[in-house]
Amino acid sequence: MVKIKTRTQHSRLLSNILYWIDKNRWLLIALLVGLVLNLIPTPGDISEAGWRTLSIAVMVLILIVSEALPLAGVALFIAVMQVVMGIADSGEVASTFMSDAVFFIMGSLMLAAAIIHQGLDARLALGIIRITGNKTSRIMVGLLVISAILSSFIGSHTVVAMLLPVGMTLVRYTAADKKQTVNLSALLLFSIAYGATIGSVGTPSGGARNAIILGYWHDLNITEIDYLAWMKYVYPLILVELPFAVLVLRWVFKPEYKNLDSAVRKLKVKVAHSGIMTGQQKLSIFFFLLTFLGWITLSQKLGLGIIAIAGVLLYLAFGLVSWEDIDRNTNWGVVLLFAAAISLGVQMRRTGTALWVADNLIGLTGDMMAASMPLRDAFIMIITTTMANTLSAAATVAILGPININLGGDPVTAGFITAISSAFGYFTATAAPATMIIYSSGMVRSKQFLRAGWRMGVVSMALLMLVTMLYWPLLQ
Amino acid sequence: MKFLIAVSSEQFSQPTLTIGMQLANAFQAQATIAYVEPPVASLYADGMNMTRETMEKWGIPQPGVEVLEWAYRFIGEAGYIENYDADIPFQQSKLVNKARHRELVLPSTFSDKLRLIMRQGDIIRELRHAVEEDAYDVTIIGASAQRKMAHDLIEYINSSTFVVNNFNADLTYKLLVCVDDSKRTRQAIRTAAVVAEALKLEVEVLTVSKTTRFGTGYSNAHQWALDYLEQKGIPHQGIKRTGDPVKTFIDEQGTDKILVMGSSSGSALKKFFRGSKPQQTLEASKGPILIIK
Repeated sequence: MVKIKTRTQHSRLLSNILYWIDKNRWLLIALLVGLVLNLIPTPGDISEAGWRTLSIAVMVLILIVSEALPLAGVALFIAVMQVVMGIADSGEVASTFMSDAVFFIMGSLMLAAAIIHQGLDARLALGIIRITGNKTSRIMVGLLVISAILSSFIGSHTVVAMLLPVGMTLVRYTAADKKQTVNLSALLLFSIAYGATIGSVGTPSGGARNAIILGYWHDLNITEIDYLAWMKYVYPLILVELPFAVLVLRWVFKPEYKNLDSAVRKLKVKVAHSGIMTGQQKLSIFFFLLTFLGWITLSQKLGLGIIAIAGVLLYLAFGLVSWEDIDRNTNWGVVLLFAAAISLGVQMRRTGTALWVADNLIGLTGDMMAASMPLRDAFIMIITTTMANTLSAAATVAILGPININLGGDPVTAGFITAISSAFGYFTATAAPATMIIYSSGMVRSKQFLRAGWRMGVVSMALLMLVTMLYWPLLQ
Repeated sequence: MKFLIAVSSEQFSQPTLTIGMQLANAFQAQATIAYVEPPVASLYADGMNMTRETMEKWGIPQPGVEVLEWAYRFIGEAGYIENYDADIPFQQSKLVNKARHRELVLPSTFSDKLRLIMRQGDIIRELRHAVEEDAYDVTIIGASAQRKMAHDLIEYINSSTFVVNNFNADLTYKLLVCVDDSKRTRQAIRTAAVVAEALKLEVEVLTVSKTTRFGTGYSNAHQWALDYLEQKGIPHQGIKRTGDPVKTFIDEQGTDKILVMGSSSGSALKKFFRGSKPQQTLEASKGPILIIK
């Protein structure tokens, strides 16, 4: 009897071990790949430290794509491996973890959490409907444009969080049966998501990726592009992309209802109770405008990050948001991951890894890339878009940024292309925060993302190439 | 007994819920209906949190709450809920946070008979945790196109598993019990007897030998099954076949029989790399299959 029990316990233990291995196979694969890279001889044209840094970058890529570890866990992994593998000492790793770019990402996320708390969503809904009226075609344009403008300043996830309930409510008020509103749901929700994605590259505060590229330009003494200069480069692209997004969405999702009279009426009744704008809401808009003004006028002196944090401080000091609300809605794991990715990017640059990878990429194309700038730009765009559709945009930029900037030619152009094309996460439901959030609503289907996404992706890439070749040279 | 019924959507989970509740009723078991929300990339967790908060403010339920509401009304209208109130409002505020899941608490679920829960994450991991935490005896789930799912369901979830594959509620099914000399065969027969008795189904006892000679173990097990069903007064017939066991199980099952078999008691390592008879059967089966642990 005892023997049978022991055998059962052993079998259970073995089953548990196999379960752990099965569920953590990507963690084990990442470690195995790292081990192999460290055991094979280092190529002659890269330093030992550079090769080890590359092995960490490869392991990190596997861990992020597979989500084998929580984000914060990947960040800690980067910190530990840098020290354990002798790339930098603990003091240096700690110092590379914190920079103005990280302050800026942290501050922007906290600002977004503070803004969402102000209940401006109902007011936005009213504002959009007042401008657009009841026609579906006009409402979708309204959602797309407002989403793009707002997300360029406060980040795509905040805007989608505010506008998604508006879109969903309109659909639900139109017909209770979801089968009758398949295309209407897609049209309105994709307008919100695409608007937010397109807009998120418009200013440095639109997304973490933008701040990371600014950080690299600063650290490499390439250029000191301020908030307004960034907008001059990128905003025209947004303005050109929006009409194409309207065309693509209307072409792919032909709505079942051309007019949303009844839904709009019910929505107005629903949001009417929000009454006139409260003093608190006015103050919160004023503080955001103040922060925005700070970014435009003082960023060279104070740094974008400190200004963002000062903005959060104002919200806290005037009781517009509690720390608990900020704490709950800020993804600290993301902040830590970006800090770690930037730290790894710094080491990739310092140890020559970025340059070595860039040289080898140029060599792979038979030096064609070095000779032709449009080819180099297209290469950066395609590789960044591909990676951003499997990784996150910001993680892509953190790792690819230093490599792309070293690919020869103008590093400013390379940086902009990297930041912008990392936002082309149109191809799958999970490629960008905005698309992931609308997908999680359960009102759009995964197949719809590719149907509209490949068209939007191709159009966006073509427009970026045109802007790169025709518009940016005029600014230099 | 405790049954865990995993549902995913109104479109796909109707058969799972129908047969799941019939079985739970047959065993007078407590039924827990679980919606497992797919994992959200942790990069987007803050955006998801904010969206949920604004959606809640606008009175829009989460997709999971909508699925549980549908499931509740579906089984309520089928007569499985005492004091069922068709007008009961479903609100997110009725969601109660527990240690590792959230539970939707309504007046008529405030009993031992029915629970509605939501979890988030990898489906196998979440069902495994649910079974560990609440000691469910049977997990009922719809079929998946993923091949690996069969292995994971059988090996990693520590309860009997009923995979509701192509179930047609209008069809009168038979039970096809696969019998051999393995450890869990008798338990499979006993379970099949309870199901057959409660749902008034006929039972076929199938024993397959790879060679023309049926060993003593196989013959004894086959005879024991027939005697047991005879004793319980359940209409039955015995079938002995020669050939590849998995292929024969599938051929005999067709689309109008619910296959019942014991799980494999072989080495976990061997099953991990080479699979097992139940696993291969589950992968190839075109109909519902109940694997007893």
